[in-house]
Amino acid sequence: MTHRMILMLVMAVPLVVWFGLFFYLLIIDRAMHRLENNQEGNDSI
Amino acid sequence: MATLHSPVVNKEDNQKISTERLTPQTAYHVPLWKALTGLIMSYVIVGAFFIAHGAIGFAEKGVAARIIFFHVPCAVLSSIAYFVGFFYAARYLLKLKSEKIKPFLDDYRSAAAMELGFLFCLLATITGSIFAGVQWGSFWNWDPRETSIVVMLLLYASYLLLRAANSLKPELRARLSAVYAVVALVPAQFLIWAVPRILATMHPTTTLTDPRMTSLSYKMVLYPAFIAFVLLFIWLMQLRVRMMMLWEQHRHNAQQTMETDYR
Repeated sequence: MTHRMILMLVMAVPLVVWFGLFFYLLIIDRAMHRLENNQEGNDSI
Repeated sequence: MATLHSPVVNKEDNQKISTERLTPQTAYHVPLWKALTGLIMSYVIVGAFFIAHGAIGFAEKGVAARIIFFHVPCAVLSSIAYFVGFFYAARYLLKLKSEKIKPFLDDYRSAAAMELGFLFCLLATITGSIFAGVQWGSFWNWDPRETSIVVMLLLYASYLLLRAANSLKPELRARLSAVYAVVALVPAQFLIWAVPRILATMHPTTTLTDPRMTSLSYKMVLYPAFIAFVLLFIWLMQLRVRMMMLWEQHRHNAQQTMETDYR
């Protein structure tokens, strides 16, 4: 295993963690957007 | 049986249709700056391994130094968060005096900034400890900066405990936590700026201020790292404030329903 390959493997760990966090934040963001829309709708009713 | 059930089903359907018509369901589009946060942070992670070269003077040919792309922005953000928390707390107190409406939004913003300050302070402590373990041979050395970050953590933790202890009285909670955020600014700034300069520290102090101290390959990753972490901080703070507002709205609605039922 070359040094470059080891570096790539080590790099994959924070990269996967970051992608997980990023998409998790996007999901929360979208869910809140929906909730806020529903709230506005309820207020208008 | 069918005739008994059919009016109920029709009523529910009618309610569903009328609610769908009245609620404006705007489509969700990922804002550009949030997508940019994802891209810049990914660049920083790749850059930490493949753009930045091993730093001279660091252990194991600079391999351990890669953690500074995450440790330094976390440490800087933990002090910026305090300023943000202080700013909104002071604004809350000023508005409280001048306006009749309770400015809870500023309280939520201040609280969100302090919560994130605690999170980034914790991350800076953990990454710093790992770095110290590799570079200085011990995970904890009671260096002035290490000691001051622990006291900063305690300052943040006290704020969070103060809020949690008064969670049932929102107005008292907001007022007390705002006063704490304003008063604790003095010890916080003393810990961040004065302590490491008064006492001898193992931490480098001129790495960021002196441009000759950092190589171009490090600047190419470190500066985008600051941008990515600041954007992430703004995103997390925005989410937290929105969550607090939704929760408050939900609590208010539940209280109103209970009062109506009681009558």
